[in-house]
Amino acid sequence: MRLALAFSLVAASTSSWMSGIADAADKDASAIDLLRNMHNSARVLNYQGTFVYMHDGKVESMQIFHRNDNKSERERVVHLNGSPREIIREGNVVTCILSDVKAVRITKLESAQHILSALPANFTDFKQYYAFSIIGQDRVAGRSALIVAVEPKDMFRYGYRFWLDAEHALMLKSQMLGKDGEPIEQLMFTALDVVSDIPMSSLKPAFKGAHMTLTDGKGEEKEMDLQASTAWQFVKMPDGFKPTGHNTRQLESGGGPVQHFVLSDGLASVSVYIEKLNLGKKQFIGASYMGAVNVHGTIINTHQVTVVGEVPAATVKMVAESIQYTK
Amino acid sequence: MTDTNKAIEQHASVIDGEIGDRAGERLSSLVDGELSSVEYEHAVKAVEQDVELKRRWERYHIAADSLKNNLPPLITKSNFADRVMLAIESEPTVFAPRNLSRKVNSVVKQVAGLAVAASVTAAAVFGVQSWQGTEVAAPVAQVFPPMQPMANPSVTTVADTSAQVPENLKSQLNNYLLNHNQSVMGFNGMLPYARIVGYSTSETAE
Repeated sequence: MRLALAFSLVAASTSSWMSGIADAADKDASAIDLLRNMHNSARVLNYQGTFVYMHDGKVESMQIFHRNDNKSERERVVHLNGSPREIIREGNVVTCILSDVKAVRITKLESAQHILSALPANFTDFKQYYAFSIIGQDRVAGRSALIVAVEPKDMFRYGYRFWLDAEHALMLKSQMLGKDGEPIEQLMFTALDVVSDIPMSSLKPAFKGAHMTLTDGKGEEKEMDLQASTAWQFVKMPDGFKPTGHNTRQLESGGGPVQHFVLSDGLASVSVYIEKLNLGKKQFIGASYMGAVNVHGTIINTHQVTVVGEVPAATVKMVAESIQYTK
Repeated sequence: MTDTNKAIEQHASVIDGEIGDRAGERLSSLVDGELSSVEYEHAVKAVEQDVELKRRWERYHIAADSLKNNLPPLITKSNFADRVMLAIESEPTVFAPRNLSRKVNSVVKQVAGLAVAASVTAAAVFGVQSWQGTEVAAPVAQVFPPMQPMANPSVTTVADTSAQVPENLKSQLNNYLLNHNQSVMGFNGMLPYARIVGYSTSETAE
């Protein structure tokens, strides 16, 4: 039943978009609805495909399988070149199998719901910081696509472009854009099939987990010292970024508890990790990055604070500098 | 205050727009090394906890560096060498601002251009998938008791060298990166996963 609903939603929206592209007054709303369809389709449909992920002149190829049998939702992403890695999600439990470094890491999704699956009422904040519009049509993976542009209204976030399948609204191609409008990272499907069923075997890992270090972070919601968690305040965050989650976890096997705050503006998210300084770990301060993700470190009151996010460096820096410890 | 420090103070005040408030005076005494040990502890703690003071501290040092051709005011203090050795041993790794030059490869330049803050470092190399930072070499002005490391990136503009981030730091940062991408639901579902599988912690570049 859910599938049928999704299809009708998608079909209705798509046909109206095809005819409504020129209607400027509706642009913002229709673009957002299209993104919402994308989000829903991605969760509800059964599909498999091959895509490339490009960053810094490097190209990685991957395969994805997504299955939803109305009882549970699962997906599996497999790295096809280089290091043998895969990620399997079952519901909100995510397992990373990193064969090259002999590690398996399990964690839970921070928030089960994304704003795009929430009610339209929640959108008002979200729309303040981005402008949404449908900017054209294209062809990707042999399929017709509509292009949605998401433009940031300030320097604290990146812009995006999404090519959405005209038939199912699934994302076929995406770009995250820097200030100069050039892509920082891109993802593009070369083949995508929407099917009625994906066999469970496609969602099992190809690599055995033997002789690997396991970091199981899903169950360990460490009993928090309530005082400790409320002691951390975010005094001045970049506009639109709000705390959406908080937990205390063990991030690596044998490691101590780490507080993890998540901030989001609806599209982009920033993680803040706070842990007590200890002799076994190196401290670090300042800005760095890894791919599309920027990092900023600082030390506050004998704690190492690390801010991580797919946002400009200025944003992680501002978040890091806005954290205060109040006794 | 010495003449040079007066000049620095004025220079820094122009930046701050504030002259002569109590915390600021204590801060400049701290910079000059004019505090007793008790006052010193309090001052360091105050700077550590107050973002605004911390910023001023940084600006004083930026001003000092530029006026003195990178020789910091504290260099004439006694026991200097010993204190530096102590400080270096427990030094946190600071990713320093660097002047981007033509030699920096185009990718790094591109990403650095994205950042608004001038202090974005060109450190991390994308393809090698490792964190790179600038080791604090001769952090001469950072003479603090080892237990209280402080953010003072401006000082490291002195040393425009880049060194590999130590192994244990790399894997630490990778843990955060992995966790972030694993626990945040992207609105199209696969971008965070693509980022995870696209990176590798191995030293050998692909």
